[in-house]
Amino acid sequence: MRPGHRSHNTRRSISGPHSALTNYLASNNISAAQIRADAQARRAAAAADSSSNTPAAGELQPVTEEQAEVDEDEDEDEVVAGTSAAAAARRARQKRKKRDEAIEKIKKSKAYKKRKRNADDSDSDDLALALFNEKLAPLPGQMSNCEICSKRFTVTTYSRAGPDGGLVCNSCGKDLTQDEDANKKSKKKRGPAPKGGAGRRKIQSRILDGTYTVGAKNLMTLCIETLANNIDLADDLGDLPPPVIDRIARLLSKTRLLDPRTLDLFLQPHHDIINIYDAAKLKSDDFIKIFQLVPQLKKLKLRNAIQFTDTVMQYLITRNIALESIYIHGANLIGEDVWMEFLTKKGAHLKGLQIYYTDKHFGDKAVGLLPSVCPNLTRLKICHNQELSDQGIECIAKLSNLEHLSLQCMKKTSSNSYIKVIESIGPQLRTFSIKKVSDVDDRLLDALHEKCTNLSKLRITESEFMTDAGFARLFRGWKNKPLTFLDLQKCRYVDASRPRDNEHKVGLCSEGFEALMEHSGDKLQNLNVHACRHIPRETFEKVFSGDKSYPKLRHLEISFCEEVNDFVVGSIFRSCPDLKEVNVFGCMKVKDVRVPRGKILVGVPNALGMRIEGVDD
Amino acid sequence: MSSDGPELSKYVTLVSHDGYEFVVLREAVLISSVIKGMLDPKSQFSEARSGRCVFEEINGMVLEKVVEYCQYWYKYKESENVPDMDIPVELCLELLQAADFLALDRMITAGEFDTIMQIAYAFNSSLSLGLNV
Repeated sequence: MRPGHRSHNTRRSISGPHSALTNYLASNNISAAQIRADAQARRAAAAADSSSNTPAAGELQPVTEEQAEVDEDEDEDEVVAGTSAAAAARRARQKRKKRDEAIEKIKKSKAYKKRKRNADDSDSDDLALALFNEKLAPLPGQMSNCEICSKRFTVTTYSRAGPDGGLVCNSCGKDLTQDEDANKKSKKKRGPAPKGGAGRRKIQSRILDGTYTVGAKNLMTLCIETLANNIDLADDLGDLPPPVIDRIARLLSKTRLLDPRTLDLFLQPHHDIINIYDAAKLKSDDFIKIFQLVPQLKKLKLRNAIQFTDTVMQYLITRNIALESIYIHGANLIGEDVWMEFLTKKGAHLKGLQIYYTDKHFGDKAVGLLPSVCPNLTRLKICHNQELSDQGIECIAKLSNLEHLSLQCMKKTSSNSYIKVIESIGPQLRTFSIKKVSDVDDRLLDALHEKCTNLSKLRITESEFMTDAGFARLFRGWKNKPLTFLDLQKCRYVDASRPRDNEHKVGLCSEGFEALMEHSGDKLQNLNVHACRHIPRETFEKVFSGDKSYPKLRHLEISFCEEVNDFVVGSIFRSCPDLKEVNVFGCMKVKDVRVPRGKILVGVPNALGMRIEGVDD
Repeated sequence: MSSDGPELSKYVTLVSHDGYEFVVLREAVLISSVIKGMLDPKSQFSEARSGRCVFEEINGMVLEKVVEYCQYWYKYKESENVPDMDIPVELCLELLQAADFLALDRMITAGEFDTIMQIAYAFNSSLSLGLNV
C-alpha cells in the first residue's frame, strides 16, 4: 500500500546518477523523490483546502491554485517520471483516500473531541477537516493567506491557528490572543461567585465562631458592616447610641482598620466609655489624644496597646481623669514603677483593673499596693503575667470589696495562697477564675465549699491534684447558689504510661460530675469539662437521663471526654432544651448523631467535622 | 386600604415624614418590636386601629430601605445562607439610626419567629372576633 512500490517501478525507467543514500533507500523501498513529491502535494492540497474552507479567501483562490500549479510544476521538473496522467490520477485518488483515513483518525482523536465539545454548533465533518488542515498547514518559512484578513504572510513556527483551523497572520494572531486572555479573565471573575450569601467555608467558620444563625441578618448588622467597609468615607459617626458605636469599633478592629484616623470617630468629648479592640496601629501620641479629647472618660478598654508606654501613663496621671475601670492588653512597655505611681495617684476611684499580657511589669509589688491604694476595687483580672507569684496573690486577700477575681500566672503557684484569698474574701466573691493551676489541690475546693456562697462563675483549669472526691465534697451540700458558669477544663489525671488507670480518682470523674450537675444543673448556662476524660459513660447517661432537665444550659464543652458516644449526645440534646452548642472534639465514639433543629454539634470526627441540622425536631 | 377595615389587615401602611406611603405585609413589619408595639391591638394606639404608622423622624428614602429590609427579612426568615441586602453607603448612618429607633438590632430566632406568628394570628382572630361581637 505504500506509495514506494509504485515509485520504485517508475524510477527504474529513468537513468541518472545514484547516490549511495538513494541506493540504500531504494533497496529499502523508499524513494526520496517520492517522499518529496508527496510532501509538496500535501502542502498544495492543504493550501487549496484552507482557501476553499475560508469564505473570506474566496477571491484569492486563483492565487492559491496558481501556487499549487507552480508547486506541481516544480514537482514535475524534479520527478520527471511521475508525469503520466494515470499515475497522477492514481496519486490523487490515493491522496484523497489517505486524507479520508486521516480525517477518520482525527475524528477519534482527543483533540477533536475536545474541540467539538467547545464548539458544539459546528458541523463535525467541517471540524475534522479543519483539524486535518491544521495538521497539513504550511510549514514555517512558506507563505500563506491569513484566515481572518486574507493577507499573505510568511508562516513562522509562532503562527497561530485561526478559529476555522487555518493559519492567521501575525497581527490577527495578536488580536486573537488578546481576546482569549480577556475571555479567560472574565470567566475567572464569574466563576467562583457564590450563589447564596457566604461560601461553605464562611458558614463553617461562623458555626465555629458561634455567630451562625438561620434567617437574615438584622438591619443594624447590615448597616454596621456597610459602614465598617466604607469607614474611610465617614467623617463623623454622629449621635449613634453607645452600643452601636461599640459594635462599629469591634468590627473595625476585626478587620484591623482602627488607625489614628479612624480613632477620631470614636473620640467624642461627651463619651465616658472608650473601647478599642485593636490598638496595635496607634502610637503613644494617639493614646495621649484619647485623654485630651475625652475628659469625662470613665471606662477605658485597650487591646494590643503596645505603645501605651510610660509616657502615656504619666500623662494620664497628670490629667484630671478619674478612671473607674481600666482594661489594658499587651502594654508591656509600662514599667512597674509607673504602674505603682498610677495606682497610688488614681487608684482611689478604680473599680475595675484588668491587665493582660504585660510580661514582667505588673508583679508582686504592684499587687501588694492594691489593698492600700485601691479600696474600691471590685474586679481584678491579671492574665498571663510572668511576675506575679504566691506572695502577690496573698495580698489580694486584703481587697475587701473584691467581687470578681481572675488570675492566670505563668509562675507556679500553690494552693495556700489561693486558700488565703478564699478564706478572706470568699463570701463576697461572685467570680473566681484561676487558670493553669497545676499544683492546686483539694484543699482549695474545701475552702470554696466552706466560704463561698455568692459565686456564679467558677473556673479552675488544669489542676493535676484535685480529686473526684474533692469535687464531690465541694458540690454536695454547698451553700452557694447554683452556678451559671463552670469551667473545670483539663482537671484530670495524666500518666503517659498508664493513661486509662486512675485508681486514686484524680480529676473530675463520676461522683464530682454527678454532684456538680445536682448542685448547679438548674441554673448552669455554660459548662466546660473539656478533657475530663475519666468521667464514665454511665455517669453521662445517668446525668442526662430522661427524667433530668437542665433548662438553662446553652453551651456544653465535652471534648476529649472519651466515653461520650452517640447515645450520650442524644441524651444531652433531650435533657437540655435550650442548648445551643455542644463541642465534641476528640470524642471518637460519636459517629452519627441526629442533631435537633437549631442546635449545633461541633467537632464530630468525620469528614464534615461540624454540622447543623434543620430536619429533626 | 388598611384603614378601611381591620379584617383586611394583612397589610399595614408606613408613612414617612415627607409623605411617602409604603404598604407592607403585616407579618413582615413585626420584625420591628417598635412597630409591633404600635400595631398591637391591646395598645389602643390609633396606629393599631388604622393600620397606619406615621414616622415623623424618618424620611422617605430611609423608610423605603427599612421596608425593603422588612420584606427581605420576611423572605429569608427561615433560610440558611442568606445573601446580604445591599445598603447604599450614603444612607448608611441614617439607616443605622432608623434601625436603632425601630429596634431592628436583634436577631430573631426561629422560636421567637413562631411566637411572633402566633401573636399575629391571635391578633387576626381577635380582630375578627371583635367584629363579630
